[in-house]
Amino acid sequence: MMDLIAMHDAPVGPFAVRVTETPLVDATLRAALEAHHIESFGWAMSCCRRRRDEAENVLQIVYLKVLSGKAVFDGRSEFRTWLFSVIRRTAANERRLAFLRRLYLSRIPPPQRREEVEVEPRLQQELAALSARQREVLQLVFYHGLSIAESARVMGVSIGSARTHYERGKQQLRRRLQ
Amino acid sequence: MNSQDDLKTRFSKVRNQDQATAPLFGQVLGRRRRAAPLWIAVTVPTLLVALAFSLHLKPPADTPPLLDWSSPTAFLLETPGGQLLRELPKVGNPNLEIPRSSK
Repeated sequence: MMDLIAMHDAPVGPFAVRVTETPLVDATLRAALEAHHIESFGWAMSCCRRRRDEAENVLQIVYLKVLSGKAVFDGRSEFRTWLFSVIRRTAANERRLAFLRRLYLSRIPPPQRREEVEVEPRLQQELAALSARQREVLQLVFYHGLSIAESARVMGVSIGSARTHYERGKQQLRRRLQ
Repeated sequence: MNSQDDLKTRFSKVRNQDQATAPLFGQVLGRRRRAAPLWIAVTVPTLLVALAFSLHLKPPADTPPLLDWSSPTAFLLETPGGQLLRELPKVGNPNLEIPRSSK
């Protein structure tokens, strides 16, 4: 992980530029991505409303972004927190672009959704009824075991805001599940 | 079981399912891209529209220059006696050109 942190602290995004690069970085990045792959898949599933094909697509874009240096880890947070925030932003971006894709590429058939039996369908149903922020913070805390502060960093909001979303979301979810 | 534990249990069931069905890292990284890149979908129609506009706005070769153009109603601005206002009178020459009626 130290090799990752040794990279520079350029902003993450399409204009991020890698200043220094060691031959080990790509292999280290790949290993770090692979180590967090299962967690990342679960988070991508949540960001894509449990649509598996979309989640895999988002995850692939994220991996390519990271490995090509378009998204650069700056070492200011844990690698997992940073990776989750990249997945979250990429999923949101893909959702926005999906509309244009449908408009221009309507002749391309939509991807086949694999029929899978979901466990806890009631939980998924009630989570979907919550606001996006509440859903995200509950997923990060209960599914991934992140703290409220870490969740706030992933979501790009203040800790106070994340705490409010957490409390309200938890109350609503409890009420709905009863 | 309190509601906090209940939520944890429910989420952990989903987590276990995801772990069991998650694709391999290599499969995700090497999967075929789903759709054509968006920039193709945006750039191609834009270029076609720009081409159509450039062809449409180009003037044909036999069009007269703009400076030679005059309004079809320009003759209405020629008032009788307007020559008096435009030219200085000369001694010996009548300033007015009075058309002679041919009888």
